Amino acid sequence: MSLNNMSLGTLVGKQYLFKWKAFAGVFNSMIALQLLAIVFSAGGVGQTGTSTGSVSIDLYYYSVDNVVGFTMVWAFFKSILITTKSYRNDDYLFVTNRLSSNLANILFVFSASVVAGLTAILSGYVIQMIQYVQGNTFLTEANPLSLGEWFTGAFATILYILFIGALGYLIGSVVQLHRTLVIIIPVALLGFLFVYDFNEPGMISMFKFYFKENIFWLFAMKILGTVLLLFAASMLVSNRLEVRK
Amino acid sequence: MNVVECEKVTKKQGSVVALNELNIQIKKNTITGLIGRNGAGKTTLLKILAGLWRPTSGHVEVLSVNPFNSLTVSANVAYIDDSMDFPNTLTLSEILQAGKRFYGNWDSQLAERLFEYFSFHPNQLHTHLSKGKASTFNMIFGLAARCEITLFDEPTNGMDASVRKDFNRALLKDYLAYPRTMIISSHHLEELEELLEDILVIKNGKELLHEPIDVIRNYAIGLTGRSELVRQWVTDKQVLYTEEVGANTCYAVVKSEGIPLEKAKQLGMKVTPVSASDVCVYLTNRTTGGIDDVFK
Amino acid sequence: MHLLSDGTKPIYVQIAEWIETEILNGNFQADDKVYSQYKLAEIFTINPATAAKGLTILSDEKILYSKRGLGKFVTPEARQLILDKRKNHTLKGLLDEVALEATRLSVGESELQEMLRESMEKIEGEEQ
Repeated sequence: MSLNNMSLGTLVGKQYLFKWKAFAGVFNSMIALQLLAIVFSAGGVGQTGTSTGSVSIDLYYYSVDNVVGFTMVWAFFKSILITTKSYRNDDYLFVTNRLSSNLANILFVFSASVVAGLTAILSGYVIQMIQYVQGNTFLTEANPLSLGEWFTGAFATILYILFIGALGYLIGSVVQLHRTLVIIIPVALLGFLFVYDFNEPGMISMFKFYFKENIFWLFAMKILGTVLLLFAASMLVSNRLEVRK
Repeated sequence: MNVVECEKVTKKQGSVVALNELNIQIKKNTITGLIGRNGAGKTTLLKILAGLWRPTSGHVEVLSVNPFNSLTVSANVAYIDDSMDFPNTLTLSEILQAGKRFYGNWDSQLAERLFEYFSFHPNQLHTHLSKGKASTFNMIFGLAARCEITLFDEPTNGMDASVRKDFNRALLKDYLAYPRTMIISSHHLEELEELLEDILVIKNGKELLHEPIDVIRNYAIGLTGRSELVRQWVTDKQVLYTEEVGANTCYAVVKSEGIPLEKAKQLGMKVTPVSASDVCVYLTNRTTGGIDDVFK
Repeated sequence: MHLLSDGTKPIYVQIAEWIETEILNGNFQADDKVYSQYKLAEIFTINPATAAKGLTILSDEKILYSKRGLGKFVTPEARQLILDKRKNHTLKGLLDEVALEATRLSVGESELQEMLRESMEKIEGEEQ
C-alpha cells in the first residue's frame, strides 16, 4: 500500500474548508448577538430635542457602534472557543499536525472577522430600515459616505475585530497549556483591570500608537503586524500540546 | 520490516508512570493484539504511536519518523477509540465525506456498504448514537481510512455479540484484501484472538510478552489433582495461578515449557490446556513471582 | 466447521485436521489444489498467518506439496499418511487415555474389551 503524502499547503486548505462546516455554530451566536445589538440600538444611541413655539424637533442618533462592540466581544470569545479541547480535537480526528491545525484556525479567524465586520457594518442599513418602517425621517442623505470612506470604515472595523480575535486566540492557546490557567488567566486579567492605572504614560502611548494613527495604511500595518505576532505566539505555545486527552 | 519501534519509552503523567521503559517492535502487515489490564498503559502507548501524545523519555519511531507532530504519521495512522467527538455540525454521511477528503486511500465503497449494512441513517448526528452504534461507526471510519497503520483502542466497547462478530469478519476481510498493520487493544482477548498474528501483553507500563499468538496458546497448562501432590510437584516450576477446587483438590497453572506431561498424568493429575485469554489473565494478575507468595 | 478457541487445540492444528478430514472424505483428491492461507483465513475468520501454519504442518508431513507460485496440492500418498497418522497417533493416544482411566476405575482388560465390542456394534448398527 502506498503511503498517503499530503503537502502542508493542501492540508491547510482542506482543514480550512472543513472548519467552515465544523465551526458553523459560531456564526449562529454571532447573528444572535448582532440582532440583539440592533434591538438595543433601535431606540437610538443619543438624543437631543429642541422646541420653538409650536415646533418641536427630536433628534435621535443612530449608529452601528453597539453592533460593532458586540461583534468584538463575540470575536474574542469565538477565538477562545475554537482553542478549547473539543474544537481542537476535531482536527485530530482526521489528518493534521499542530502547525496545520493552527494555520487553518488562523485563516478561519481571518475570514470570520471579515464576515463579522461586514455584517456589523451592513447592520446599519437594518437599523435604518427599522426607522423607515416606523415612519421617521432620515438625515443621513444630507451627508452620504463616499465609497472610499465606506470601505475604509469597513476595513478598519474588520481590523479591530481581527485584533480582538487574535488576542482571544492567544489567550485561549495559553489556557490550554494547563488546567489551572483556566482560572489564573481570567483572574489575572480582571485584577489587572482593577489595579492598573490606565492614565499611566505607557498605556497612553500604546493607545496612541494603535488608535490615534491618522494615516490609514499605517494604522492597518500596525494592527496587522500585531495580529501576526499574536498568532505566532499562539502557534509557539500550542506546538507541543498533547491532544485527544 | 518494522513499522513501529519503541526504545525505552517512558511516559509519566504527574506522579503516575504510565509507560516504564517500554521496548517494542511491530512488524509490517501484522495484526497485533495489545492486551493488558485497565491502566496497564495500552491507551498511552497507542496515543504516543499516533503522534497525539509525547513520551517523557525514550525513542519512538513510526513509519521511520518520530510520530509526534508528524504529518506523515497523521496521514498514515488512524487512531480509533470510543471518545471520538465528531463535530455536531456534521451528519454521519458528512463525516465520511470529510474522511474521504483527508485520507488518500479512503475506501468510499466500503464505507457506504458498511454504513448501510449496520443501518445507519445519513442525517444522524454522531452524538445521538448509542455507545455500541458509535463504536460501530468509528470502526467503519477506521477501516475505510485504510491507513498503513490502524490503531483500534477497545474498538468493540458497547457492541453486542453479533456486531462484534461482524466487526471481526469485516476487519479480517478488509485486511486480507488490503494487508496493513493493525494494533487492536482489548482486555478481552477471547473475542479477537483468532484475528491476531501476534500478541503483546503489557503490565504496569512494561512489555511482559510479545509472541505469535500460538506461542501464548501453548504457553501454559493446567494441572488438577490432590492438593499436596500438586503443590509439591510444582514447587520448582513457574506457577502462574493456583486455586483450591473442592476438598483437597488443587488446580495449578504452570508454564508448560519442560513439564513432563506423561509423568504428571501417571501420577494421577489431570492435565488440561489453558486458553490464551486465561494465560493473559494469569500473567497480568500475578503480583509476585514466588510460589510461596501465592500460597500465603 | 466451527473452531474451538478454548485452548483445547491450537487453531492451526484444527485447520490442519479439517483439511485432512476433507481429504479423507474425498473432497480433495490427489494433486488437487487445496485452499490458500488467505482463503482459509476468510472461511474461518482467522489470521492468515495462523492458517499458513496449519498448511505448513501438512507440508512437513508430506500430505501437501508446494508448486512455486501456484499454491499447495494434495500428495498422492496423502490419504494413506493421514490414515496412518490418525491410527498411530490419534487412536493410540485415545486408547492410552482409555487405559489410564480404566486402571483408575479398576476396569480389567476383558471388561474393557467387552465395552469396546459393544461400542463398535452400536456404531455398525447405526451405519446399517
